[in-house]
Order: sequence, then structure tokens, then C-alpha cells
Amino acid sequence: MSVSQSPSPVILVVDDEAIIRMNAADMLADEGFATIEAGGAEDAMAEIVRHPEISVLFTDINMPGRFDGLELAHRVHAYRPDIRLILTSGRNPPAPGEIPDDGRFLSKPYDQASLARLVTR
Amino acid sequence: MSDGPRISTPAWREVDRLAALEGYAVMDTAPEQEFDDLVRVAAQVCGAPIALVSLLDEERQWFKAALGVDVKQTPRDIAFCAHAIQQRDVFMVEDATKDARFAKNPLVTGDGGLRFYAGQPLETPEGLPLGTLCVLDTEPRSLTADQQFALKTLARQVASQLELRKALAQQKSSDERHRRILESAIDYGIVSMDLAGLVSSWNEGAHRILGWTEQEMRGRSCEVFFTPKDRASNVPEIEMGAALTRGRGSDERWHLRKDGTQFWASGEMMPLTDEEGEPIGFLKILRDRTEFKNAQTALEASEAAAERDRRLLTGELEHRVKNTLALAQAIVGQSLRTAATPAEARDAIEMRLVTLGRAHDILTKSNWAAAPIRSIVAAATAIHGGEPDRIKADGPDLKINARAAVGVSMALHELCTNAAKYGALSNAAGQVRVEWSIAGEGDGAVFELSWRESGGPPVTPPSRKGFGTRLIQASLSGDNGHKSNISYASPGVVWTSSAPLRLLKED
Repeated sequence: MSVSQSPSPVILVVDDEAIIRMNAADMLADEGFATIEAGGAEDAMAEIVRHPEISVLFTDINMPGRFDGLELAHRVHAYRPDIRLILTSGRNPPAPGEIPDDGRFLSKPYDQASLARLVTR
Repeated sequence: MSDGPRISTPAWREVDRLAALEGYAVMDTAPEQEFDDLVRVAAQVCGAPIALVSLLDEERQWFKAALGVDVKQTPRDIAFCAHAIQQRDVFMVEDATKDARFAKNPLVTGDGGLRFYAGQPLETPEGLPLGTLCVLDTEPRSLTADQQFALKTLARQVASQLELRKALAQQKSSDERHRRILESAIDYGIVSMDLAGLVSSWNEGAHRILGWTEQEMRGRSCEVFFTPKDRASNVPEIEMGAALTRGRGSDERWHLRKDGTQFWASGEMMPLTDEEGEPIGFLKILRDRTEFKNAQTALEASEAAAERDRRLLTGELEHRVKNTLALAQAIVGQSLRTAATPAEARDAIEMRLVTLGRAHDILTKSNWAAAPIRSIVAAATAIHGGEPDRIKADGPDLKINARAAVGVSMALHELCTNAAKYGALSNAAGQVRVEWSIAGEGDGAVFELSWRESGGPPVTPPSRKGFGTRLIQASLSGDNGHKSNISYASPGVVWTSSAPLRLLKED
């Protein structure tokens, strides 16, 4: 999937754990990306709708709420198939084929360089 | 050995003779037709009024059969038979009055007035004389050669009869013993069948295990205690075949009880053979193993469940550990970003990780299900030491989930740190009130937490957003209905945050 045409991609960072979310946003900011944060899947979906400039979704899988990060990825892909998908978790990765499109998985804890590589590949 | 006439020893010992007599279990038993008939014949053939089957034990001679006398026994020392048994042929005394051995014998001199005696020893197959078959008369006389031959022959008949009687008794007692063994083996069903599988014997154990009585099962096919499925697959025949060809047919399978219930049994089918080794039937021994099988199944199930739990737990643990590492990574990363010096960074990291650790300690106490908020607040604020009175905490008892516990701990830690540096905990008099409450109820219930400083130096908003400030503003805020606010107006820093209660409760 191609990265959006804006000068630097806008990444939606989703994690229910505030500290981890903040840190991920900072890591991405260090790499020169603009970020928007959401604390859960429903809020994230709202941000996707509100901000058409978002080009990458980086979301934790296990979050409380009506649906989790994996379901979020499916919905986002259905709504905006151009958005790049990156999923993360402290648990085992989803089975092959469970992540839609060309989505990737990053295991927690992750380092800045690996995250950046996935965003720009 | 008793007193009495003893002649030079024959080829046997008295002790062996007595033991053999004992083995016949005949002394003092009731008269029996066979012996009565034999003495009658002896009396007729010899033309004598008295005929006896006399058996000698240590002290006496006792008559198993007696014709012509009323007494059942006499002391051994006056018994003619005691002499007779010392040799193997017919022992004859033609006129007792003329024989020095017997002239003074009370049987001769007394009322009986015996004059003539002829007795043939009764010998066991081993040659031990048990007693005699004898004829007596009150007149002196003799026996012809034919009569002697007849007496010898009849004596052999008496001995055979005694032998037969002994064998039958032993058989009976052996059968009785076997019966008792079978009966006592009630944990085992022991069933014998003919070659067609029809039941010929059925022990108490079989009754107990299978339900049918011996009467009900005699002559019936063993098929009845196999399941319909096994019958359809000819399992009984296969087992019998295996018993014949391989010596045994073993099985562990479901069997059928009389009441229709099934039970798990382990059993063996063996051939029964005659003396030449030809099969004449089968013996099946089975044991009810239902309890064992149930226990085994339960054990397997519980082991499988334990294995599942182990895997789940390991998965859970891995998840928690990874999350904690990610959290620690974030704390370290953020602290390094916002600290002015490495020393400041180290202090900040240290305190934040300690706070995280204490929150985890409280969570561990409840197996990571939920932590009492009172404990969380106390642990997070206690780090700062100082007089315990300066931070007052109040609110209802409430348990919050792991994520909320960590979030509240970290936020309170930052507030304390800032208060200690710039706010109400940085002078002698400042105070902090931490309060929480629940507004509304049911699905709409809202949890509210507040931090109010007073008595500290004049407050100014921070010039830049350090990790602490961002954390305070982010924690419990912005996600799924959480809201928080921080103000830096007089009388001191006030932080409030609220979230739907259901999101703070156990996951």
C-alpha cells in the first residue's frame, strides 16, 4: 500500500495504555511523523472518519470496549483500503490471513527503528 | 504305645499305622450298608455267629460293622485283632482255651465265651494294617481253605471300600474348599462354560458383578453379558478362539449387566482341558474395572484440563510480562526524553518503576484480578515519605482492574513528584486531599477521582509538558469516555478525572 501524498504521513496510534501510547507517538514523532492518538477502537474509528489525512493505522490488538484492534483493522480497511495497517500485542500474533490486506504485526515491546521501518516500507 | 501283646515287628511302624488310620476318618462313624453286607457274607460263608470289621487305634478296637455282638468296642489289650495285624495272612485261633496267649482273656473266660477266631488284616495300599475282617465262634473249630480264601477276598473288599470312602471324602472336601475359594473371590467373576459358551458354573463374584444368579445363568450362553455391539461383532467367539489357539483371550471392554447397564471390565478367557489336554470348555475370569476406568478417565480429563490451564496461564503470563516490559520501556523512554540531566533521568526512572512495582504488588495479591483503590492510592503516595498526614485520602471501597490501577498509580506518582518539587508538598504546611466517588448507577455510573492541593507556594502552570504532565492529562482521559482536567489556579493544583465505572472494574 502506498504511503499518503502529504509531506509526512499522519499516523493514528491506538493503545488503551496511555503511557505506551504516548511513547509510541513520541517514537514516531522522533522519526518525523505526525500522530493522532486514540485510547480505544471506537475512538479510533471516530478519528479515522474525522481525519482523512491519516494514512497509517498503528494499533494494539487487546483493548477493552465493544471491539478490539483486530476488528478495528478490518473496519478501517473496509472504510479506507488505502490506509496501511500495523498491529501490535503482548500476546501471540494473529494467525496468518487474520490481518486484512498487507497488514503487519509488531510484537511488544518494539523498538523505534522496527516501527519506523514498518511505517515506511 | 499301649500295653498289650506285641510280637516281633513287621515291616511298618505303629506311628505310621495310626496316622494312616487317622486319614480314613472312619473311627466312631455310623454304620454303613457296604460294611454291614460284607460282614454278613463273611459270617455266612464261614458259618460263624460273629463277624466284625474291627479297626485298631492306640487304645481300643472299634467295630465299623458288627454281627452277633452288641458292643461297639473293646480295649486293645484284649483284642485278638491286635495279634492278627502283626502278620499278613489269616490269623486263626482254633481253641482259645488251649492258647496261652488267650486262655486268660476275659472275652474267652467271661460271658462271651469265645473259643474260635479267624481274622484277615485290612491293609492300606501302602501295606499298613488298619484292623481286620474277622469271624468268631463260641465253639472250637477251624476254617476250610475255601473259607479262608473267601475271608481274604472279603477283607480286600472291605479295604477297597474304606479306600473308596476316603477318596470320596477327600473329593468332597476339596470341592468344598474350591467352592469356598470361589465364593470368597467376590471381586472376581469366575464363570465356566462348555465349548459352546453355555455357562456351567457361576460364582458369587459373577453374581455380584453381573447381576444374574447362578440359577439364572446355568445353561445360558455367555453372550448375554457381552454388549450388543460385541455380540454383533462375534467378540465372544473370537475370545473363545483366542483362548483355544493362544491359551488365553484377554480383553478390556464394556460388558453388560442383568439390569442393562454397562460396566468396564478386564477379563481373561482360558480353555478348560481334560487329562489328555483336549479342550472341554472355557473359564472366564473378569473384574469390574468401572471405578478404575472412571478414575482413569477423570484423571485424563483433569490432566488435560490442567494442561489447558497451564497453557492459558503461560499465555497470560507472557502477555503480562510483555506488556510490563513495554510499559517500562515507555517509562524509561519518556523519562530520558524529558529529563534535563542523566541524574534527573535516573531518579525519575527509578521512582516511576518503583511506583509501577508497588502497583503490581497490590495487583498480585488479588491474582491480578482487581486492586482495592484505597491500597493503590496509599502505595502511590507513600513513596514520598514525609508526615503521613499531609496527603489525606478518602472514598468508598472499590476494586479497580489492572489497567486502571497502573494508570492511577502512575498519575498520582507524577502529581506527588510535582507537588514535592513545586507544590503543596514542597513547603512545611501544604496539604493534599485525594478523593474518589461514584456518581450515578448501573451502566451509567461514573467514577470520579480528584487531587486538590492547598497551602503550598503560589502555583504556575508548567512551562513545558514533561512526561508527568502529559501522563496526568492522558491517564484516564480521552479514551472511551474518560475525562480529565488539571488547573493551576489558587489555592493549588487541582486535578480531576472521571471515567465510566464499568471500564475500571474487573476485566
